Amino acid sequence: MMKLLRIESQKVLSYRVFQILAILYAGAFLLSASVFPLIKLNTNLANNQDILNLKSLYNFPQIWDTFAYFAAKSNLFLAIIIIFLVGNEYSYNTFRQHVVNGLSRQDLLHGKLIVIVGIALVNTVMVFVFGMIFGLIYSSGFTFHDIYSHLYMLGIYFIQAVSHMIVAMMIAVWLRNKTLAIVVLLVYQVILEPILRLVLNKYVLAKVGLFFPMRVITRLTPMPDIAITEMIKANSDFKDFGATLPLWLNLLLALGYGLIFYLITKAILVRRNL
Amino acid sequence: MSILETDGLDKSYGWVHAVNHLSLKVEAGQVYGILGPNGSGKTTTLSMLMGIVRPNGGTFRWFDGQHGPEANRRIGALIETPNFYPYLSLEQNLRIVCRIKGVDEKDIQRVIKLVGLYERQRSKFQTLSLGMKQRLALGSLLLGDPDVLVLDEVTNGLDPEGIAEVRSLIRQVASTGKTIILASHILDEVEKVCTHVVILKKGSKLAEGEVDNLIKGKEVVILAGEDNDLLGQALSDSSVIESFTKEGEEFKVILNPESKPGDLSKEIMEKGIVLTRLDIRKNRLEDQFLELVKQDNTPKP
Repeated sequence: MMKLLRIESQKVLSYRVFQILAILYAGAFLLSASVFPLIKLNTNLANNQDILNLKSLYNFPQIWDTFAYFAAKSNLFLAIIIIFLVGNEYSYNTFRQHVVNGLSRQDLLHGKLIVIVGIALVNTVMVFVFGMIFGLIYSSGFTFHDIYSHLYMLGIYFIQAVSHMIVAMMIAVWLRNKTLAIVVLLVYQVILEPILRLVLNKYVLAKVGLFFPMRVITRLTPMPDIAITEMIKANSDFKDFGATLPLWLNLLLALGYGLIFYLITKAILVRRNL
Repeated sequence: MSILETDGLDKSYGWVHAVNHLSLKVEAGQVYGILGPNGSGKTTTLSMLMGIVRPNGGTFRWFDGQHGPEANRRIGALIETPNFYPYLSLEQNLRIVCRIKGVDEKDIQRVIKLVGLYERQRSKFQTLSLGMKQRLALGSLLLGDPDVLVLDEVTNGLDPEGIAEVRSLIRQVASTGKTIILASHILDEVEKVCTHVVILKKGSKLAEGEVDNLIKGKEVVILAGEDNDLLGQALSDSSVIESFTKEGEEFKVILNPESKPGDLSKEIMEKGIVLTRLDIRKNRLEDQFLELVKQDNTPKP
Protein backbone atom coordinates (compact mmCIF):
# COMPACT_ATOMS: atom_id res chain seq x y z
CA MET A 1 0.00 0.00 0.00
CA MET A 2 2.71 2.50 1.01
CA LYS A 3 4.85 1.14 -1.78
CA LEU A 4 2.12 1.74 -4.39
CA LEU A 5 1.50 5.20 -2.97
CA ARG A 6 5.19 6.07 -3.33
CA ILE A 7 5.29 4.74 -6.88
CA GLU A 8 2.14 6.60 -7.95
CA SER A 9 3.04 9.89 -6.28
CA GLN A 10 6.34 9.97 -8.17
CA LYS A 11 4.47 9.60 -11.45
CA VAL A 12 1.53 11.88 -10.76
CA LEU A 13 3.02 14.88 -8.98
CA SER A 14 5.68 15.57 -11.63
CA TYR A 15 3.21 15.26 -14.49
CA ARG A 16 2.68 18.66 -16.12
CA VAL A 17 -0.82 17.90 -17.41
CA PHE A 18 -1.84 16.91 -13.88
CA GLN A 19 -0.34 20.06 -12.38
CA ILE A 20 -2.13 22.30 -14.88
CA LEU A 21 -5.50 20.55 -14.59
CA ALA A 22 -5.24 20.60 -10.78
CA ILE A 23 -4.56 24.35 -10.75
CA LEU A 24 -7.37 24.97 -13.25
CA TYR A 25 -9.75 22.90 -11.17
CA ALA A 26 -8.93 24.66 -7.91
CA GLY A 27 -8.93 28.05 -9.66
CA ALA A 28 -12.29 27.48 -11.30
CA PHE A 29 -13.77 26.38 -8.01
CA LEU A 30 -12.39 29.34 -6.08
CA LEU A 31 -13.47 31.81 -8.77
CA SER A 32 -17.03 30.53 -9.04
CA ALA A 33 -17.31 30.39 -5.26
CA SER A 34 -16.19 34.01 -4.90
CA VAL A 35 -18.15 35.46 -7.78
CA PHE A 36 -21.45 33.68 -7.25
CA PRO A 37 -22.60 35.56 -4.13
CA LEU A 38 -21.92 38.89 -5.87
CA ILE A 39 -24.49 38.18 -8.58
CA LYS A 40 -27.63 40.24 -8.29
CA LEU A 41 -30.47 39.38 -10.58
CA ASN A 42 -33.01 42.10 -11.01
CA THR A 43 -36.02 40.32 -12.31
CA ASN A 44 -38.40 43.31 -12.37
CA LEU A 45 -40.65 41.51 -9.97
CA ALA A 46 -41.82 42.57 -6.57
CA ASN A 47 -40.05 45.88 -6.11
CA ASN A 48 -36.65 44.89 -7.39
CA GLN A 49 -36.27 42.32 -4.69
CA ASP A 50 -33.48 39.88 -5.21
CA ILE A 51 -35.76 36.88 -5.26
CA LEU A 52 -32.95 34.42 -5.79
CA ASN A 53 -31.17 35.53 -2.66
CA LEU A 54 -27.96 33.81 -3.63
CA LYS A 55 -26.19 34.85 -0.46
CA SER A 56 -28.40 32.53 1.54
CA LEU A 57 -26.59 29.67 -0.15
CA TYR A 58 -23.45 30.68 1.71
CA ASN A 59 -24.90 30.41 5.17
CA PHE A 60 -24.03 27.54 7.42
CA PRO A 61 -25.20 24.82 7.07
CA GLN A 62 -26.50 25.30 3.52
CA ILE A 63 -23.04 26.22 2.26
CA TRP A 64 -22.01 22.54 2.36
CA ASP A 65 -24.78 21.64 -0.10
CA THR A 66 -23.78 24.58 -2.27
CA PHE A 67 -20.07 23.85 -2.28
CA ALA A 68 -20.49 20.12 -2.79
CA TYR A 69 -22.64 21.00 -5.79
CA PHE A 70 -20.07 23.46 -7.16
CA ALA A 71 -17.21 21.03 -6.73
CA ALA A 72 -19.16 18.18 -8.31
CA LYS A 73 -19.88 20.35 -11.36
CA SER A 74 -16.19 20.08 -12.24
CA ASN A 75 -15.80 16.37 -11.55
CA LEU A 76 -15.44 15.83 -15.27
CA PHE A 77 -12.02 17.50 -14.89
CA LEU A 78 -11.03 14.83 -12.40
CA ALA A 79 -12.32 12.08 -14.66
CA ILE A 80 -10.21 13.46 -17.51
CA ILE A 81 -7.12 13.60 -15.26
CA ILE A 82 -7.64 9.90 -14.51
CA ILE A 83 -8.00 9.11 -18.21
CA PHE A 84 -4.70 10.90 -18.84
CA LEU A 85 -2.93 9.03 -16.05
CA VAL A 86 -4.24 5.60 -17.05
CA GLY A 87 -3.88 6.27 -20.78
CA ASN A 88 -0.22 7.21 -20.23
CA GLU A 89 0.50 3.80 -18.75
CA TYR A 90 -0.62 2.29 -22.02
CA SER A 91 0.98 4.78 -24.40
CA TYR A 92 4.31 4.62 -22.53
CA ASN A 93 4.03 0.83 -22.14
CA THR A 94 4.70 1.32 -18.46
CA PHE A 95 1.92 -0.97 -17.19
CA ARG A 96 3.75 -3.65 -19.12
CA GLN A 97 7.11 -2.63 -17.70
CA HIS A 98 5.70 -2.56 -14.16
CA VAL A 99 4.58 -6.17 -14.47
CA VAL A 100 7.95 -7.17 -15.94
CA ASN A 101 9.62 -5.43 -13.00
CA GLY A 102 7.49 -7.27 -10.49
CA LEU A 103 4.11 -5.67 -9.80
CA SER A 104 1.02 -7.83 -10.07
CA ARG A 105 -1.82 -6.75 -12.31
CA GLN A 106 -3.83 -6.29 -9.13
CA ASP A 107 -1.14 -3.81 -8.00
CA LEU A 108 -1.59 -1.81 -11.21
CA LEU A 109 -5.28 -1.46 -10.44
CA HIS A 110 -4.77 -0.67 -6.78
CA GLY A 111 -2.17 1.95 -7.64
CA LYS A 112 -4.73 3.77 -9.73
CA LEU A 113 -7.35 3.34 -7.04
CA ILE A 114 -4.98 5.01 -4.59
CA VAL A 115 -4.60 7.93 -7.00
CA ILE A 116 -8.39 8.20 -7.32
CA VAL A 117 -8.99 8.15 -3.59
CA GLY A 118 -6.08 10.56 -3.06
CA ILE A 119 -7.42 13.09 -5.55
CA ALA A 120 -10.95 12.81 -4.11
CA LEU A 121 -9.58 13.28 -0.61
CA VAL A 122 -7.54 16.37 -1.48
CA ASN A 123 -10.58 17.85 -3.21
CA THR A 124 -12.85 17.14 -0.29
CA VAL A 125 -10.39 18.86 2.02
CA MET A 126 -10.20 21.82 -0.39
CA VAL A 127 -13.98 22.13 -0.42
CA PHE A 128 -14.00 21.94 3.37
CA VAL A 129 -11.40 24.70 3.75
CA PHE A 130 -13.11 27.03 1.27
CA GLY A 131 -16.48 26.19 2.80
CA MET A 132 -15.26 27.23 6.24
CA ILE A 133 -13.75 30.47 4.92
CA PHE A 134 -16.77 31.53 2.85
CA GLY A 135 -19.20 30.34 5.49
CA LEU A 136 -17.52 32.46 8.15
CA ILE A 137 -17.52 35.48 5.81
CA TYR A 138 -21.13 35.28 4.64
CA SER A 139 -23.02 33.64 7.49
CA SER A 140 -24.51 35.60 10.27
CA GLY A 141 -25.87 34.28 13.52
CA PHE A 142 -25.06 30.60 13.16
CA THR A 143 -24.58 28.01 15.86
CA PHE A 144 -21.91 25.38 16.10
CA HIS A 145 -24.55 22.86 15.10
CA ASP A 146 -25.17 24.79 11.89
CA ILE A 147 -21.55 24.33 10.90
CA TYR A 148 -21.50 20.56 11.03
CA SER A 149 -25.11 19.56 10.47
CA HIS A 150 -24.70 19.36 6.67
CA LEU A 151 -21.04 18.43 6.70
CA TYR A 152 -22.04 14.91 5.55
CA MET A 153 -22.47 16.43 2.08
CA LEU A 154 -18.67 16.43 1.84
CA GLY A 155 -18.65 12.67 2.40
CA ILE A 156 -21.23 12.31 -0.34
CA TYR A 157 -19.14 14.53 -2.60
CA PHE A 158 -16.14 12.28 -1.88
CA ILE A 159 -18.05 9.16 -2.95
CA GLN A 160 -19.33 10.98 -6.01
CA ALA A 161 -15.84 12.02 -7.09
CA VAL A 162 -14.47 8.51 -6.51
CA SER A 163 -17.22 6.77 -8.48
CA HIS A 164 -16.98 9.27 -11.33
CA MET A 165 -13.23 8.66 -11.57
CA ILE A 166 -13.74 4.88 -11.46
CA VAL A 167 -15.98 5.20 -14.53
CA ALA A 168 -13.14 7.11 -16.24
CA MET A 169 -10.59 4.49 -15.19
CA MET A 170 -12.72 1.68 -16.57
CA ILE A 171 -13.11 3.40 -19.93
CA ALA A 172 -9.38 4.16 -20.14
CA VAL A 173 -8.38 0.59 -19.26
CA TRP A 174 -10.90 -0.77 -21.72
CA LEU A 175 -9.84 1.43 -24.65
CA ARG A 176 -6.13 1.87 -23.78
CA ASN A 177 -6.17 5.23 -25.56
CA LYS A 178 -6.49 8.67 -23.96
CA THR A 179 -8.20 10.55 -26.77
CA LEU A 180 -10.68 7.81 -27.51
CA ALA A 181 -11.46 7.37 -23.82
CA ILE A 182 -12.14 11.09 -23.32
CA VAL A 183 -14.44 11.16 -26.35
CA VAL A 184 -16.30 8.05 -25.21
CA LEU A 185 -16.73 9.40 -21.66
CA LEU A 186 -18.00 12.77 -22.90
CA VAL A 187 -20.31 11.29 -25.53
CA TYR A 188 -21.77 8.83 -23.05
CA GLN A 189 -22.16 11.22 -20.15
CA VAL A 190 -23.34 14.30 -22.04
CA ILE A 191 -25.22 12.88 -25.03
CA LEU A 192 -25.86 9.14 -25.06
CA GLU A 193 -27.11 8.51 -21.54
CA PRO A 194 -29.36 11.59 -21.36
CA ILE A 195 -31.03 10.64 -24.66
CA LEU A 196 -31.37 7.05 -23.56
CA ARG A 197 -32.91 8.14 -20.28
CA LEU A 198 -35.33 10.44 -22.04
CA VAL A 199 -36.45 7.75 -24.46
CA LEU A 200 -36.76 5.04 -21.83
CA ASN A 201 -38.61 7.32 -19.44
CA LYS A 202 -41.08 8.21 -22.12
CA TYR A 203 -41.66 4.90 -23.85
CA VAL A 204 -40.69 2.15 -21.45
CA LEU A 205 -41.01 3.02 -17.82
CA ALA A 206 -41.25 6.35 -16.12
CA LYS A 207 -38.34 7.16 -13.81
CA VAL A 208 -36.21 4.25 -15.04
CA GLY A 209 -33.76 6.89 -16.23
CA LEU A 210 -33.04 7.85 -12.66
CA PHE A 211 -31.20 4.56 -12.18
CA PHE A 212 -28.63 5.12 -14.92
CA PRO A 213 -25.04 5.36 -13.65
CA MET A 214 -24.12 8.90 -14.69
CA ARG A 215 -27.46 10.19 -13.49
CA VAL A 216 -27.03 8.45 -10.16
CA ILE A 217 -23.50 9.73 -9.76
CA THR A 218 -24.07 13.32 -10.84
CA ARG A 219 -27.21 13.71 -8.75
CA LEU A 220 -25.58 12.78 -5.48
CA THR A 221 -25.09 16.47 -4.88
CA PRO A 222 -28.33 18.04 -6.14
CA MET A 223 -28.66 21.62 -7.17
CA PRO A 224 -29.23 23.71 -4.05
CA ASP A 225 -32.85 24.66 -3.54
CA ILE A 226 -33.19 28.15 -4.78
CA ALA A 227 -35.99 29.92 -6.56
CA ILE A 228 -34.64 29.11 -9.98
CA THR A 229 -34.60 25.34 -9.40
CA GLU A 230 -38.14 25.61 -8.14
CA MET A 231 -39.07 27.44 -11.29
CA ILE A 232 -37.52 24.82 -13.50
CA LYS A 233 -39.09 22.01 -11.55
CA ALA A 234 -42.49 23.62 -11.96
CA ASN A 235 -42.08 23.67 -15.70
CA SER A 236 -43.55 20.44 -17.00
CA ASP A 237 -41.09 20.16 -19.89
CA PHE A 238 -38.30 19.55 -17.42
CA LYS A 239 -39.92 16.97 -15.19
CA ASP A 240 -36.85 14.78 -15.41
CA PHE A 241 -34.65 17.68 -14.39
CA GLY A 242 -35.80 18.00 -10.84
CA ALA A 243 -36.89 14.44 -10.19
CA THR A 244 -34.42 12.54 -8.10
CA LEU A 245 -34.21 9.39 -6.05
CA PRO A 246 -34.02 9.59 -2.27
CA LEU A 247 -30.47 10.38 -1.20
CA TRP A 248 -29.88 7.07 0.59
CA LEU A 249 -30.93 5.09 -2.50
CA ASN A 250 -28.81 7.26 -4.79
CA LEU A 251 -25.83 6.79 -2.48
CA LEU A 252 -26.32 3.03 -2.40
CA LEU A 253 -26.60 2.88 -6.18
CA ALA A 254 -23.49 5.02 -6.63
CA LEU A 255 -21.51 2.72 -4.34
CA GLY A 256 -22.86 -0.28 -6.24
CA TYR A 257 -21.92 1.19 -9.60
CA GLY A 258 -18.47 2.09 -8.29
CA LEU A 259 -17.96 -1.51 -7.15
CA ILE A 260 -19.24 -3.01 -10.42
CA PHE A 261 -17.04 -0.75 -12.56
CA TYR A 262 -14.06 -1.55 -10.34
CA LEU A 263 -14.67 -5.28 -10.82
CA ILE A 264 -15.05 -4.85 -14.60
CA THR A 265 -11.75 -2.92 -14.72
CA LYS A 266 -10.09 -5.66 -12.71
CA ALA A 267 -11.43 -8.39 -15.00
CA ILE A 268 -10.12 -6.56 -18.07
CA LEU A 269 -6.71 -5.88 -16.53
CA VAL A 270 -6.20 -9.37 -15.20
CA ARG A 271 -7.27 -11.26 -18.31
CA ARG A 272 -5.88 -9.20 -21.13
CA ASN A 273 -2.32 -9.24 -22.46
CA LEU A 274 -0.43 -6.06 -21.63
CA MET B 1 19.92 -25.60 -10.00
CA SER B 2 17.50 -24.95 -12.77
CA ILE B 3 16.64 -21.28 -13.21
CA LEU B 4 13.85 -21.71 -15.72
CA GLU B 5 11.83 -24.62 -17.00
CA THR B 6 9.04 -24.43 -19.51
CA ASP B 7 6.81 -27.27 -20.48
CA GLY B 8 4.77 -27.14 -23.68
CA LEU B 9 4.44 -23.36 -23.65
CA ASP B 10 1.96 -22.40 -26.34
CA LYS B 11 0.51 -19.18 -27.71
CA SER B 12 -1.63 -18.31 -30.69
CA TYR B 13 -2.75 -14.90 -31.86
CA GLY B 14 -5.76 -15.71 -33.98
CA TRP B 15 -4.44 -17.72 -36.92
CA VAL B 16 -0.81 -17.17 -36.06
CA HIS B 17 0.74 -19.87 -33.95
CA ALA B 18 3.38 -17.66 -32.33
CA VAL B 19 4.84 -20.22 -29.95
CA ASN B 20 4.35 -23.93 -30.50
CA HIS B 21 4.64 -26.24 -27.47
CA LEU B 22 8.01 -24.94 -26.43
CA SER B 23 9.93 -26.73 -23.71
CA LEU B 24 13.17 -25.23 -22.45
CA LYS B 25 15.48 -25.65 -19.54
CA VAL B 26 17.95 -23.02 -18.39
CA GLU B 27 20.49 -23.87 -15.72
CA ALA B 28 22.16 -21.43 -13.33
CA GLY B 29 25.19 -19.72 -14.83
CA GLN B 30 24.27 -20.34 -18.45
CA VAL B 31 24.16 -17.59 -21.03
CA TYR B 32 21.20 -18.93 -22.92
CA GLY B 33 20.46 -17.62 -26.38
CA ILE B 34 17.09 -17.75 -28.07
CA LEU B 35 17.95 -17.44 -31.72
CA GLY B 36 15.54 -17.05 -34.57
CA PRO B 37 14.52 -14.79 -37.41
CA ASN B 38 11.96 -12.02 -36.93
CA GLY B 39 8.54 -13.43 -36.10
CA SER B 40 9.88 -16.72 -34.76
CA GLY B 41 8.25 -16.21 -31.35
CA LYS B 42 11.19 -14.97 -29.30
CA THR B 43 9.50 -11.90 -27.87
CA THR B 44 6.22 -13.76 -27.33
CA THR B 45 8.09 -16.44 -25.39
CA LEU B 46 9.84 -13.90 -23.16
CA SER B 47 6.58 -11.95 -22.73
CA MET B 48 4.88 -15.09 -21.44
CA LEU B 49 7.79 -15.81 -19.09
CA MET B 50 7.56 -12.28 -17.68
CA GLY B 51 3.78 -12.42 -17.23
CA ILE B 52 2.67 -9.80 -19.72
CA VAL B 53 1.20 -12.26 -22.22
CA ARG B 54 -1.05 -15.09 -21.13
CA PRO B 55 -0.08 -18.49 -22.58
CA ASN B 56 -2.82 -20.58 -24.21
CA GLY B 57 -1.23 -23.71 -22.82
CA GLY B 58 1.77 -25.13 -21.06
CA THR B 59 3.52 -24.09 -17.88
CA PHE B 60 6.73 -22.42 -16.80
CA ARG B 61 8.58 -22.19 -13.53
CA TRP B 62 11.26 -19.76 -12.43
CA PHE B 63 13.70 -20.60 -9.66
CA ASP B 64 12.39 -24.09 -8.98
CA GLY B 65 8.77 -23.20 -8.66
CA GLN B 66 8.47 -19.47 -8.09
CA HIS B 67 6.03 -17.68 -10.30
CA GLY B 68 4.68 -14.23 -11.02
CA PRO B 69 5.64 -10.95 -9.34
CA GLU B 70 7.95 -12.48 -6.71
CA ALA B 71 10.01 -14.19 -9.39
CA ASN B 72 9.98 -11.11 -11.64
CA ARG B 73 11.48 -8.95 -8.89
CA ARG B 74 14.52 -11.23 -8.87
CA ILE B 75 14.98 -10.86 -12.63
CA GLY B 76 16.24 -7.89 -14.61
CA ALA B 77 14.27 -7.95 -17.85
CA LEU B 78 14.10 -5.81 -20.94
CA ILE B 79 11.43 -6.81 -23.43
CA GLU B 80 11.40 -5.05 -26.82
CA THR B 81 11.73 -1.32 -26.14
CA PRO B 82 12.86 0.68 -23.10
CA ASN B 83 9.67 1.82 -21.36
CA PHE B 84 9.95 4.89 -19.17
CA TYR B 85 7.98 8.03 -18.37
CA PRO B 86 9.19 10.63 -20.89
CA TYR B 87 8.46 13.56 -18.58
CA LEU B 88 10.41 12.19 -15.61
CA SER B 89 14.17 12.44 -15.20
CA LEU B 90 16.35 9.36 -15.50
CA GLU B 91 16.81 9.30 -11.76
CA GLN B 92 13.06 9.58 -11.08
CA ASN B 93 12.36 6.81 -13.55
CA LEU B 94 14.88 4.52 -11.89
CA ARG B 95 13.44 5.40 -8.50
CA ILE B 96 10.09 3.96 -9.62
CA VAL B 97 11.84 0.74 -10.68
CA CYS B 98 13.62 0.55 -7.30
CA ARG B 99 10.32 0.95 -5.46
CA ILE B 100 8.71 -1.83 -7.50
CA LYS B 101 11.61 -4.21 -6.99
CA GLY B 102 12.17 -3.29 -3.38
CA VAL B 103 15.74 -2.24 -4.12
CA ASP B 104 17.59 0.43 -2.13
CA GLU B 105 17.48 3.71 -4.07
CA LYS B 106 21.20 4.19 -3.40
CA ASP B 107 21.82 1.61 -6.13
CA ILE B 108 20.68 4.16 -8.76
CA GLN B 109 24.02 5.99 -8.62
CA ARG B 110 25.94 2.77 -9.21
CA VAL B 111 24.02 1.65 -12.30
CA ILE B 112 23.72 5.10 -13.81
CA LYS B 113 27.51 5.41 -13.69
CA LEU B 114 27.89 1.89 -15.03
CA VAL B 115 25.95 2.71 -18.19
CA GLY B 116 27.62 6.10 -18.59
CA LEU B 117 24.61 8.35 -17.99
CA TYR B 118 25.76 9.96 -14.74
CA GLU B 119 25.93 13.46 -16.23
CA ARG B 120 22.44 13.09 -17.67
CA GLN B 121 20.68 11.76 -14.58
CA ARG B 122 18.60 14.92 -14.13
CA SER B 123 17.60 15.12 -17.81
CA LYS B 124 14.14 14.07 -18.80
CA PHE B 125 13.94 10.67 -20.43
CA GLN B 126 12.42 12.16 -23.58
CA THR B 127 15.59 14.17 -24.26
CA LEU B 128 17.75 11.04 -24.62
CA SER B 129 18.94 9.57 -27.89
CA LEU B 130 17.84 6.06 -28.80
CA GLY B 131 21.17 4.56 -27.76
CA MET B 132 21.03 6.35 -24.41
CA LYS B 133 17.49 5.11 -23.81
CA GLN B 134 18.67 1.58 -24.47
CA ARG B 135 21.56 2.06 -22.05
CA LEU B 136 19.21 3.42 -19.39
CA ALA B 137 17.05 0.33 -19.85
CA LEU B 138 20.13 -1.83 -19.34
CA GLY B 139 20.99 0.14 -16.24
CA SER B 140 17.48 -0.26 -14.91
CA LEU B 141 17.59 -4.03 -15.23
CA LEU B 142 20.86 -4.14 -13.31
CA LEU B 143 19.24 -2.40 -10.32
CA GLY B 144 19.51 -4.55 -7.23
CA ASP B 145 22.05 -6.78 -8.95
CA PRO B 146 19.60 -9.54 -9.99
CA ASP B 147 20.80 -13.11 -10.50
CA VAL B 148 19.00 -13.49 -13.79
CA LEU B 149 18.86 -11.15 -16.77
CA VAL B 150 16.36 -11.46 -19.61
CA LEU B 151 17.33 -9.48 -22.68
CA ASP B 152 15.28 -9.13 -25.82
CA GLU B 153 17.15 -7.77 -28.85
CA VAL B 154 19.22 -5.48 -26.63
CA THR B 155 21.52 -4.21 -29.34
CA ASN B 156 18.68 -3.06 -31.58
CA GLY B 157 19.12 0.53 -32.64
CA LEU B 158 22.61 0.90 -31.20
CA ASP B 159 25.61 2.10 -33.17
CA PRO B 160 28.58 -0.29 -33.56
CA GLU B 161 30.31 1.21 -30.55
CA GLY B 162 27.15 0.82 -28.48
CA ILE B 163 26.76 -2.77 -29.63
CA ALA B 164 30.33 -3.56 -28.59
CA GLU B 165 29.78 -1.87 -25.22
CA VAL B 166 26.58 -3.78 -24.56
CA ARG B 167 28.15 -7.09 -25.50
CA SER B 168 31.12 -6.51 -23.27
CA LEU B 169 28.74 -5.54 -20.48
CA ILE B 170 26.84 -8.80 -20.96
CA ARG B 171 30.05 -10.83 -20.92
CA GLN B 172 31.20 -8.97 -17.84
CA VAL B 173 27.92 -9.72 -16.05
CA ALA B 174 28.01 -13.34 -17.23
CA SER B 175 31.54 -13.76 -15.87
CA THR B 176 30.20 -13.08 -12.37
CA GLY B 177 28.18 -16.28 -12.61
CA LYS B 178 24.80 -14.75 -13.40
CA THR B 179 22.30 -16.43 -15.66
CA ILE B 180 21.41 -14.56 -18.83
CA ILE B 181 18.62 -15.34 -21.25
CA LEU B 182 19.13 -13.47 -24.48
CA ALA B 183 16.84 -13.36 -27.50
CA SER B 184 18.37 -12.27 -30.76
CA HIS B 185 18.04 -12.65 -34.50
CA ILE B 186 21.75 -12.00 -34.94
CA LEU B 187 23.72 -15.20 -35.01
CA ASP B 188 27.00 -13.42 -34.49
CA GLU B 189 25.69 -11.95 -31.24
CA VAL B 190 24.58 -15.31 -29.89
CA GLU B 191 27.85 -16.92 -30.93
CA LYS B 192 29.87 -14.21 -29.23
CA VAL B 193 28.13 -14.13 -25.87
CA CYS B 194 26.10 -17.31 -25.35
CA THR B 195 27.05 -20.68 -23.96
CA HIS B 196 23.78 -22.40 -24.85
CA VAL B 197 21.23 -21.77 -27.54
CA VAL B 198 17.81 -22.77 -28.76
CA ILE B 199 16.94 -22.02 -32.36
CA LEU B 200 13.34 -21.10 -33.05
CA LYS B 201 11.42 -20.94 -36.25
CA LYS B 202 7.75 -20.04 -36.47
CA GLY B 203 7.40 -20.73 -32.78
CA SER B 204 8.86 -24.24 -32.91
CA LYS B 205 12.16 -25.47 -31.57
CA LEU B 206 14.51 -26.42 -34.40
CA ALA B 207 17.62 -27.22 -32.42
CA GLU B 208 19.00 -26.82 -28.92
CA GLY B 209 22.35 -27.30 -27.29
CA GLU B 210 25.74 -25.85 -26.54
CA VAL B 211 26.77 -23.05 -28.81
CA ASP B 212 30.17 -24.67 -29.43
CA ASN B 213 28.60 -27.82 -30.80
CA LEU B 214 25.67 -26.31 -32.56
CA ILE B 215 26.69 -23.22 -34.39
CA LYS B 216 30.28 -22.30 -33.65
CA GLY B 217 32.06 -21.95 -36.98
CA LYS B 218 34.43 -24.81 -37.69
CA GLU B 219 37.61 -24.15 -39.57
CA VAL B 220 37.50 -24.93 -43.25
CA VAL B 221 40.62 -25.47 -45.34
CA ILE B 222 40.64 -25.34 -49.12
CA LEU B 223 43.39 -27.52 -50.62
CA ALA B 224 44.68 -28.30 -54.07
CA GLY B 225 47.76 -30.36 -54.98
CA GLU B 226 49.85 -31.25 -57.99
CA ASP B 227 48.46 -34.77 -57.75
CA ASN B 228 44.90 -34.61 -56.52
CA ASP B 229 44.45 -38.40 -56.44
CA LEU B 230 47.33 -38.73 -54.02
CA LEU B 231 46.00 -35.81 -51.99
CA GLY B 232 42.58 -37.40 -51.85
CA GLN B 233 44.13 -40.62 -50.57
CA ALA B 234 46.06 -38.71 -47.90
CA LEU B 235 42.91 -36.91 -46.75
CA SER B 236 40.99 -40.18 -46.42
CA ASP B 237 43.74 -41.48 -44.13
CA SER B 238 44.08 -38.26 -42.18
CA SER B 239 43.38 -38.26 -38.45
CA VAL B 240 43.00 -34.50 -38.04
CA ILE B 241 40.01 -33.85 -40.27
CA GLU B 242 36.33 -34.37 -39.75
CA SER B 243 35.26 -34.54 -43.38
CA PHE B 244 36.19 -33.38 -46.86
CA THR B 245 34.51 -32.87 -50.18
CA LYS B 246 35.99 -32.49 -53.64
CA GLU B 247 34.82 -29.42 -55.44
CA GLY B 248 36.24 -29.27 -58.93
CA GLU B 249 40.01 -29.20 -58.67
CA GLU B 250 39.90 -28.33 -54.97
CA PHE B 251 39.19 -30.10 -51.71
CA LYS B 252 37.07 -28.49 -49.05
CA VAL B 253 38.22 -29.87 -45.73
CA ILE B 254 36.58 -29.45 -42.33
CA LEU B 255 38.99 -29.94 -39.48
CA ASN B 256 38.43 -31.68 -36.19
CA PRO B 257 37.53 -29.12 -33.53
CA GLU B 258 40.82 -29.76 -31.71
CA SER B 259 43.06 -29.62 -34.80
CA LYS B 260 44.79 -26.68 -36.44
CA PRO B 261 45.43 -26.13 -40.17
CA GLY B 262 49.13 -26.53 -39.37
CA ASP B 263 48.55 -30.13 -38.24
CA LEU B 264 46.99 -30.97 -41.60
CA SER B 265 49.74 -29.25 -43.58
CA LYS B 266 52.39 -31.13 -41.62
CA GLU B 267 50.68 -34.46 -42.22
CA ILE B 268 50.48 -33.87 -45.98
CA MET B 269 54.08 -32.66 -46.26
CA GLU B 270 55.26 -35.75 -44.42
CA LYS B 271 53.68 -37.80 -47.24
CA GLY B 272 55.67 -35.79 -49.76
CA ILE B 273 52.68 -34.22 -51.47
CA VAL B 274 53.18 -30.78 -52.97
CA LEU B 275 50.33 -28.37 -52.44
CA THR B 276 49.48 -25.72 -55.00
CA ARG B 277 46.92 -24.10 -52.78
CA LEU B 278 46.19 -23.88 -49.05
CA ASP B 279 43.48 -21.48 -48.07
CA ILE B 280 42.10 -21.20 -44.55
CA ARG B 281 38.71 -19.69 -43.95
CA LYS B 282 36.04 -19.56 -41.34
CA ASN B 283 32.83 -21.33 -42.18
CA ARG B 284 30.21 -18.76 -43.08
CA LEU B 285 28.11 -18.92 -39.94
CA GLU B 286 25.33 -16.83 -41.29
CA ASP B 287 24.91 -19.34 -44.15
CA GLN B 288 24.91 -22.21 -41.73
CA PHE B 289 22.23 -20.60 -39.59
CA LEU B 290 20.10 -19.76 -42.59
CA GLU B 291 20.54 -23.34 -43.76
CA LEU B 292 19.31 -24.60 -40.40
CA VAL B 293 16.34 -22.29 -40.38
CA LYS B 294 15.46 -23.11 -43.98
CA GLN B 295 15.67 -26.87 -43.58
CA ASP B 296 12.04 -27.58 -42.91
CA ASN B 297 10.87 -24.98 -45.33
CA THR B 298 9.92 -27.61 -47.87
CA PRO B 299 6.16 -27.88 -48.26
CA LYS B 300 4.65 -30.81 -46.44
CA PRO B 301 2.50 -33.22 -48.41
